[in-house]
Amino acid sequence: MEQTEKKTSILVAPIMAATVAIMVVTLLTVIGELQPGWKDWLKGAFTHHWLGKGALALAAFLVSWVLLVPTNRLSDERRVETAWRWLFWTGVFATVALALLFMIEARRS
Amino acid sequence: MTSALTIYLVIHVLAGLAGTAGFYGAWFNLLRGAKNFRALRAESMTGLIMILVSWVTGAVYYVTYYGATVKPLIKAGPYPWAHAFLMEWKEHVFLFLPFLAAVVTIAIWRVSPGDQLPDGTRRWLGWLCGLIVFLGAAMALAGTGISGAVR
Repeated sequence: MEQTEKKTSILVAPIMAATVAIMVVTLLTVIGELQPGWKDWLKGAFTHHWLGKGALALAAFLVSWVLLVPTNRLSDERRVETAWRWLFWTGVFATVALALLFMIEARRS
Repeated sequence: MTSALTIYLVIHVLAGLAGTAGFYGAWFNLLRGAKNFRALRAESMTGLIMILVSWVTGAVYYVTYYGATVKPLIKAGPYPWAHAFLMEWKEHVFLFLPFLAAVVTIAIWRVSPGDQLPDGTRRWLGWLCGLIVFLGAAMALAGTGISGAVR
């Protein structure tokens, strides 16, 4: 039981890292639609804007995971559940936000 | 379209469906209390691998072919919103899936077979698997709409 709790605690870092990655994708996408120059920069740096968003999201995920590892020592099941909650609702809101963004962009074009 | 790109596209679709199916199995396994832990591990790992395969094969098709050849056809056709809304939404939300799938799978695989998932984690994993299934299904529908718009 103690080992299971300890192992569960370790999960906080990747859960929050995934949350950060989703936020990064959403932010990059919104900025890209509002500032075309940013999309061009991504294309120049990564040969395609979508590859750039994926690469930056992956980098954000890995860096966040590493930076958040020390927080695992403070974790208990309650904090893990909070991390899960953040991940789930970030995924939901980001999905809806992008749907709204592209609905507006589609009507405009 | 070359035969190689056709193969990539077919694998992208089939792997995406298989990945969604994997997490569908995991979802219902979790809802039933995660009693069949071996199956849960297999379902989540299969789902993750299939989603990653779908990600890579979709990326090849999208980056090398879709933008230059398919997108102009859709934008010039009677359903330009199929790209402006469906494809744009799909290609960006698709970037969420590997991270969601990876974290769910890591959590499941971190628990020893003899132990149990804490109740709170089990419930949230269920919600997240449900989200993955919903996004996978929505993307499959969007892909169908996009393909239809080309014709």
